[in-house]
Amino acid sequence: MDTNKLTTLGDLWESHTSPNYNIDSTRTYVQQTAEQYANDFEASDKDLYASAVFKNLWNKKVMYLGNKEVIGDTWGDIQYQSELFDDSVDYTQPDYPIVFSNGGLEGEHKQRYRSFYSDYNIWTGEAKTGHVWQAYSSLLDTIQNNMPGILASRLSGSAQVLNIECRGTKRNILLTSDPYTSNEATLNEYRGDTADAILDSGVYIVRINKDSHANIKELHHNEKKLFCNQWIYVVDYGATLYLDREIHHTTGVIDNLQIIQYPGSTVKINTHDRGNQWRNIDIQAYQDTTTIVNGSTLLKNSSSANFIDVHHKGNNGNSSIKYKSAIYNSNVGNFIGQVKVDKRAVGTKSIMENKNLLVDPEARAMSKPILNINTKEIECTHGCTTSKIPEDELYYLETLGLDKNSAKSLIANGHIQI
Amino acid sequence: MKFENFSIAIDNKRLINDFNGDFANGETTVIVGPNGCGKSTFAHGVMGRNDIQVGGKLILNEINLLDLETDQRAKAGVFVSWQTPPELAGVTSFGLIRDVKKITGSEMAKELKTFKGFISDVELPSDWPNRQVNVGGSGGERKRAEMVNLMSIDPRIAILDEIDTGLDTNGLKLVSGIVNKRRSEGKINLVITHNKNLLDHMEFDNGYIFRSGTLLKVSPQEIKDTLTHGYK
Repeated sequence: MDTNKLTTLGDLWESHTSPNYNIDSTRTYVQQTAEQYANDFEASDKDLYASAVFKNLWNKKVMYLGNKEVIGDTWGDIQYQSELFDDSVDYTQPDYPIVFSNGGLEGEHKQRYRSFYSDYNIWTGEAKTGHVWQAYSSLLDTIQNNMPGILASRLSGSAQVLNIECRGTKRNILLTSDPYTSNEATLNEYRGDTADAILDSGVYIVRINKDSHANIKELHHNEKKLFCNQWIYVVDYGATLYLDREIHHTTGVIDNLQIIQYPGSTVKINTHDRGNQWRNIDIQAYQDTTTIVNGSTLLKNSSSANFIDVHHKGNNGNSSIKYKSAIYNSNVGNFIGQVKVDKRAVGTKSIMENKNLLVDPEARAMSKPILNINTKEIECTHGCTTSKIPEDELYYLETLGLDKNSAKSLIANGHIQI
Repeated sequence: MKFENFSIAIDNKRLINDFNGDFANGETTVIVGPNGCGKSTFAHGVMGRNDIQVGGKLILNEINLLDLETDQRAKAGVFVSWQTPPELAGVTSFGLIRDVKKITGSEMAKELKTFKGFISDVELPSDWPNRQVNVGGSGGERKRAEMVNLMSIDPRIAILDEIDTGLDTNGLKLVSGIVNKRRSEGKINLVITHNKNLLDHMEFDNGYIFRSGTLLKVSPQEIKDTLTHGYK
């Protein structure tokens, strides 16, 4: 599987972007080219390219700004959904809410704290001075040159840095694209900027400083936009990052999440996906790190592709990748997971699991676990299952008075619990 | 609840032919029969499992239940406890009842309190509402959980299919107590069992024995004798 080729979607977008572009022509162009590409791949890979992700992403009707109607479930339902997850962290009242929009980060405290030494700070594209910014810039350059799929950086000229330092205490931060929870000013900003109303893109670098503990919730919720984001999390020595990502009913999210784990750091990522998304998570973990990636994907009206790559670069690393999905209708869930263990990464322990539940007969799942081991004395396992809803479970719930659809839904929601 | 010429077959094998019987409010009926005679099939035939063929009529409130889907039969007031209820990964015990009873936000706290009361009634651990349905539960715990579902849903008709298996002596007493309470409230109970001990504390009005392709009505004493001395 050549993951480099997957990034051509961004190239396509870029190559077709002209002063006269409009979303419809671009969408058609991208889809045609995608289909053409699909014919050139092997049968097994073709499945992926022909998948609904690729098509739906560009086919979705775009709702325009100022219209608060929500496609599908109501906002209340969405909140109910998230109640199902047993979050260890209460994000309902985050310490800091931050909105990312049009390639920028907007934090309530941005102005107030910018000039002070603080445990929370945003550097914007305007403030490109000082050692810190230079360090980040060089990091960004390295990533741009070495990483595949650096879609967002091509689309956006600016990068934003969020610096978190909170030794000894925890910080709860909400990062959101959601105009419902963000302030009205942000919504006005959307309205004023029609040129980039559909594709919201940006490069966001979040640094968790040494020995700091940050709980971050990323909430992507906006049907009006397609997101193309590049997130880079740098987790410093001994730091802990709990990252909760929720994607609700978006037109589509194409994102590239890169995490660099310094020695002794811990990262736990939970992803809850309810919309179209195409995602690459790339984690580079050095010695004595713990990495946990949990995925919960509910595909009712959307398809998804998850590429998870954990690269153990140092010894005694622990990693666990567990992705669960429940797939409805004729949607497609794709999962490609790779654990790469370098020669020096002795003592690595790793588990990879992917469990797919096909709720309807037409649903499909594609699953490819890859172990790329280049050393000895490690423990790495992987397991993937794809199953249908067991008849007896369905009947059991019916005998209690649930109709078939409610019963299916209960089982599906249960299956994807992290 | 009234059976009219009720017949049951599974895999083209006839188990019950033309059964006629009336189950009145406030009556508990004990049903016994040798292994493999079709007791569970009878319970699930009433509920409408799709691999069981049924004939005749089953009238409740002037409606033929056999015309309804399984979930509609449940909503009409019929409950069947399972011998081996399945595990539902990721679904909590209270989450299940919440969905079944369509409990919404404002009633949630009150219903949870009631549910916790039932949990304590059947002597299950207090964290049970948050545990996944039947996952890792022992045979006896699963049966107690079935009784919690019964109390939560509080149906007019309960068919308890070998509820005694896996239950200890205390469990048997608890089940008897719940059935007796339902009886005093004017509800209908059908108790399928092999276990004479279950009947030590249970008040019941009628008995039926599976014999030569039908259900024969017998007295409570005959049920006890049969369970003690075996089938003729």
